[in-house]
Amino acid sequence: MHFRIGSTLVALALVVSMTGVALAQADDGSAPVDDAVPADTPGAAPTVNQPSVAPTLFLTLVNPVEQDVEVPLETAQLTIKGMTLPGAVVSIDGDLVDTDDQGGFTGVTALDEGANEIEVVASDDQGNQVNLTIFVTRGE
Amino acid sequence: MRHMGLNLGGRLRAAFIGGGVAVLLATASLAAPVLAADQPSTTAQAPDKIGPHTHQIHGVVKGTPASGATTFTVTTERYGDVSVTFTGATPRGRGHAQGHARSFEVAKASDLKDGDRVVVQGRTIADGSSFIARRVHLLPAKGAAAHATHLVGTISAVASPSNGTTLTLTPTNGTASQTVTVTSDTKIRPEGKTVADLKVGTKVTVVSKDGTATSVVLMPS
Repeated sequence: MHFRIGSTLVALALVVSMTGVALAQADDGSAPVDDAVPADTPGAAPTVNQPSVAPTLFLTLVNPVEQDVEVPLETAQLTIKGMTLPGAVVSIDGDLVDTDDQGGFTGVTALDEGANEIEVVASDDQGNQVNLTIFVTRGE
Repeated sequence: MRHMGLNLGGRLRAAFIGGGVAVLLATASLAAPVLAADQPSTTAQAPDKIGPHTHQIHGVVKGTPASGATTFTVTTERYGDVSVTFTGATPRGRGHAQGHARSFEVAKASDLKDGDRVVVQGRTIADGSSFIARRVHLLPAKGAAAHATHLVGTISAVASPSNGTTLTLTPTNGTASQTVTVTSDTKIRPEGKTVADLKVGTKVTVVSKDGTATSVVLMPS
């Protein structure tokens, strides 16, 4: 008898818990999942309508890692390596650089003596653009 | 149906444990959404602190240093406001190349003014509260700096004046049409494409620097 009461309470709590989770998911704005079978296709497998999410443009530097860099006077050029969204267009200081199938790119830019401000830009076919600036001081 | 041979004590314990679990689950399920709602949607990120490994900072001068001043403040993205001590240096006249200066060294703090963009080389003092400058480099004002831009759009008109080919682009982002001049110095990509491939209706990305198109990339349609 007591065991049945305990089991019933656990079951009840699980129902409350699942309902709470379902309500919380409904409140968070996530897209509902439609698993209804279309009326004109009897016996068809359930259709799941998942929203298509466009990949987000990004730009990551691999070399140099830091935005503030000091190099000796003898270093007349800097190799810049990074990653972006595959298919994105990348420029270093306004010069186009090639990207590979994985979005990797490598470019070389000349350095003046003193402080150099080097702008790396990536853009996608939607016109989105991401900029990163590297400050390289050549000398000492 | 038998209850697995539980005696009275066992049944009481089972009821007690079951009830306790029920209360915990119900409380958790009701409290979780409330707690979640209390969480801020974004977390403010504190700026990093300059440290012994910080040898260079960049930012914007905050306030104009007085004549004879040996300190000034630089507002940086990474470290927030940084107090810089600069007793002066002999500029080496560097930073001149490709027809325009990328930077100039300054001799003393009072050569700076509010809003100047600077790169400061030096070291952090022992207590980590400020930066001792060895060299201070003044960068060109943002508007005058060599800026690279990417313009993505569809060619709506093509003209061929004497100084090259002029493309009128309808930007993908919905902004007003822009014209771009393509010269013999402008790279056209992918490799093998020529100015003859720049036709009305073609989607392109134009990479420009200082207002001059350095490259035109034909985008897949």
